[in-house]
Amino acid sequence: MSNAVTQHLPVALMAYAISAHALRNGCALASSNVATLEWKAAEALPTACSTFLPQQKNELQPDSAGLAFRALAQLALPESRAMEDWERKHADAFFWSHFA
Amino acid sequence: MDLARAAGESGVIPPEKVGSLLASLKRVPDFSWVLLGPHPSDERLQGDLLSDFPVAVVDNEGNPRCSKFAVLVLNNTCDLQPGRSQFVTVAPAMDFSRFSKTYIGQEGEERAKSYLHAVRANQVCEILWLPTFASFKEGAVIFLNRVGAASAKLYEDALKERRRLASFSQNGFYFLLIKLTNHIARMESPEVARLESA
Repeated sequence: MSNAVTQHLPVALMAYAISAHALRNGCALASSNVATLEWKAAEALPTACSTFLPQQKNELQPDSAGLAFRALAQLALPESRAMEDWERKHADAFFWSHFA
Repeated sequence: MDLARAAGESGVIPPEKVGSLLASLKRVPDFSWVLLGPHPSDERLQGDLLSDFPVAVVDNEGNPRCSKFAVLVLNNTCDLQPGRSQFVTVAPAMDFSRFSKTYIGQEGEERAKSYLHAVRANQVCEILWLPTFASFKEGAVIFLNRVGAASAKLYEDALKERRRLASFSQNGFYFLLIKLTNHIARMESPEVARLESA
């Protein structure tokens, strides 16, 4: 059974850090295999799972790829919206209730 | 840009997986395809759900408050490997049934209904709704705006104690990224006027 887990990190980065700067600088995508990563970690070898590989610059167009994923996110959930104030108020109270 | 083109050009979805993802997305608001049982061989995966994990917040007096939740692990899979980081980042999961009762109790069934429908359809940016897993018989709400960090030792303990509850399917993982993107990378209000850099 193949347990390869493909991690195309620009999206994760986009979600957390909105790394438009890296994308604009011609970075491309890397993928990693979990088993390989575990082995590297166990052997204290450097892991490169988060690496943008400049040599792959011509294989993908990160600028448009980043925007395409943003478009995908919008198209997949076109009714997405932020919470309204009254919704947020109850969500906050609900969350706090777990700390009583 | 249509969905197929966006997925194909995203640089995130391999071409051979686009068709399967689109088929899954067509099933929305059915999200039964998002979660599976804990992955049998890869025990360190982004999005994995763990039970009884401490989450801390700082209260009005500046004091830390801690409580245990089921949590969703937000670190990238590669950053979950042993020795990679001293910290793990998690988002708390809460029971949708209890969540619903809070809104119905405060606002009445009619007003709460459309909001709860939006939550279940994953239309509310701050909340990831997940279908039934473990003890969450009516699903769970993950508060993406209550993310916290904890010692990686607690994560290692959870693995040792077999406290993994569920893993995301392949298409479910793409959906997690979609939700994170819609929450974090949504457009800033047009009223915000930032200064241009020099």
